[in-house]
Amino acid sequence: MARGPAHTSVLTIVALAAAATVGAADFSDKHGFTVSAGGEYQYISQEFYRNVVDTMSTDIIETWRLDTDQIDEFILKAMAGYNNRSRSSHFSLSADAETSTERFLGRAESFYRLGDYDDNIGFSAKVESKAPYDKGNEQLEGYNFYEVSTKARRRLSRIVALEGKIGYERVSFTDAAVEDSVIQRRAAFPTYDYSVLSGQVGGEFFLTELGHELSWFAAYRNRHVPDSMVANYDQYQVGLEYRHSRVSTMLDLAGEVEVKDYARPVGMDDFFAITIRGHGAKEIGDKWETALVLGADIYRFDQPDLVNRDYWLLTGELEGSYRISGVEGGPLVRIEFRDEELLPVDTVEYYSEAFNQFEGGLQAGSTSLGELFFDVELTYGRRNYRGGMSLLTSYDFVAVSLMGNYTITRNFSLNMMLEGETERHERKEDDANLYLFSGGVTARF
Amino acid sequence: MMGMKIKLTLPTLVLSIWAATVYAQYGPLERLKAAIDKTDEIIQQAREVVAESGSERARNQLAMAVRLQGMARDIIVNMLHDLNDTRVTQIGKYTMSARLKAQRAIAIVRQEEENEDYVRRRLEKTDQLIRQVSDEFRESSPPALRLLLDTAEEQQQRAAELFRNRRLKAALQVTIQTEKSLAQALERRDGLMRAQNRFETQMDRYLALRERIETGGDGGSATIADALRNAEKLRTQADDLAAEDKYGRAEKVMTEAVEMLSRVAEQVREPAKIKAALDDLRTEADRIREQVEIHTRRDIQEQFRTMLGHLDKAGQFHDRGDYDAAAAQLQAARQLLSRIKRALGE
Repeated sequence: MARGPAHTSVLTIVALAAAATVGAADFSDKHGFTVSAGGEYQYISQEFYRNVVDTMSTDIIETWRLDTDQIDEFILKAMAGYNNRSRSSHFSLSADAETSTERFLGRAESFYRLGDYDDNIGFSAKVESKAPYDKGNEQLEGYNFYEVSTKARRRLSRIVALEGKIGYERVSFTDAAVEDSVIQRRAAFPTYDYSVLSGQVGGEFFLTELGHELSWFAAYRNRHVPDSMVANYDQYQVGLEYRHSRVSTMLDLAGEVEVKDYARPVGMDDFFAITIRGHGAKEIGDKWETALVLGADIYRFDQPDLVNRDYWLLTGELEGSYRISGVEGGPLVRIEFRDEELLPVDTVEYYSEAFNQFEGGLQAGSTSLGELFFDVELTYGRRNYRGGMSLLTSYDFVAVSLMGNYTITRNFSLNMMLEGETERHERKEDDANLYLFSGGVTARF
Repeated sequence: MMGMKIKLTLPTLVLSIWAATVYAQYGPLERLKAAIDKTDEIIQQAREVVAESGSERARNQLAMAVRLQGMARDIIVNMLHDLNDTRVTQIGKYTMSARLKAQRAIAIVRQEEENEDYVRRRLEKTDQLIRQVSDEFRESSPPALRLLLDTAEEQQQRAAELFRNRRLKAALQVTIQTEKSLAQALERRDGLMRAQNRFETQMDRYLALRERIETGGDGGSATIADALRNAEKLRTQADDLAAEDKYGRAEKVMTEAVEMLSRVAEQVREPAKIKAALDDLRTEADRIREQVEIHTRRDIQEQFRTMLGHLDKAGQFHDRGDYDAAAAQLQAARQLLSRIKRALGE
């Protein structure tokens, strides 16, 4: 028999009632108590073909059937928070709960910062817990998530600032039926608990009068998985970013180097990666704006194998926007090229997922900051796997995305998000669809 | 429900050729053992990456691989002493199909949208962006932008939850959408700042013109007084719009007011009282100097220095007889001084 978090609905109803009786604030409040309540409908659907092999015959007879991994939930939400901000400190505390026929999720967060924006030390903590749920034919995992971090920032001079951060997070999964740290979810595929310890230092150089800003960071991250030593890793990252902005132009260039070292024999899965991103935008006259985004990812594995191939990926996006009556919109073009090195081991392993991808479409969004804010994009594209040695098939896709907010009154707002992507492959059984919809109303007091 | 038979694809063709080649080179049992061991190795690799990804498509392919490999082993176990060519071929077919499926599972997971590492990195990038903008937005942004940030934070929480529940593709789509929303919000904020700059430039022009008209001594004439009143009404209207963060419209109204004053200014004699106004502002600046120097906000100190620069330039222009330029500098200084005094709580 299915077990659900029905008992927890009572808590939320109590919270909603409490929310409705507490007084006055609105979206713009910076200090004091805030309570909010709302409802959200969430629909997520991933459709794909599931493979079935007939074992009764001596020949291999395969059939495919369209299957759907779906979430269809109406979620009630309630939140209570306290916020106190002054020039020299900031304290916030919030607790919120979400419930539906298939979930109960509770979350609490606190944050304290001592000092102003330039010179400060801050502490934050977050706890999130989602109850497991037994749908009868499928068990939805629950989890407990804990995160603590401390961060300090010091402005050394008008042009130099330094900051550092240390954080720890832990996730432990829970199952409706099994009380163990290793969850035997859907038979042979375990989901592991893990914890992550991270540290980061960074700095910024401001040449604001000339419109230039330079920042850097170095980060370390260690993941520890109690039940699977080979899933442990150390990760090292360093990055550099340059920003330049003027009234009608903007340029942002960023580069990052990453090294990941797994606790696995002979360097298996370990890699060295370089990531480069560039983003420029320029206003042309009063009405037009163009934006160009370019990127490059280069991955080199210590031990290239079936799973990990050395590869590079180039991406580009060009967008033009015309402003008229509070709306701006125009065409956009995206390209992606991926190339990967083949393994000189044996013929079987000569599979390559190198591809070219082209995408074009239209985008639009509101330019005003009134009650309505929206952003919409509709694109068509094609991904071609190159060289005829791919296990995946080339496909056409259509993607749509829409996100919007509407402020009804000072205390009430509506929000909506829609994402849809449909893939049509050269082999029908590789077709896939993804639909996401989320829409809700929130009241804040 | 839809059903279909598998088609012959290039990978299956390659496998068949490979199997035939191996079969021709070694004895049947060695060949079988090598092929089964290799498939076991690939299935094990697939198991690890599929467990991390949680991709349903990959799980399905791997489950089928395990099943086919099991069938191959069943035949060996049950018919070890009666392995004829037909059965050896059958075992080979099962294990090679199993291998292909395991490799497909790996290929699916290697796609970015199903790759745990990649999706985690995108989530972290969005987290970083949220942290970067949240302080700034909550401190000094229009309610619409703060609402957008709240929505972005909620979406990101949803993405993180999907990630923890191993729905990587959905998590990736949501976090990319969240990142896009935030990028849009930043662009709107930049657009707002540009409109605000343009509005403030017009306001500076307006105040300089008014200063010039008032110090010109013809403010008492009925025509000029009417024009000043009308321009002042427009300025109030523009100020109200700016207070609601509608800088685009505020700028248009301010431009109209500036044009109105420009026409009036042409009728006014050159100012005779600029020097007196300059002296007044210098006295006022000296009065608040100490308060500014001990103030914790560095931007106030920078504004104060800029204001002193405007006063110096006003003095230089006045001495050279360029009264228009002097009046403009004087008014810029006056406006900054008034901002600084507000910040000091006066």
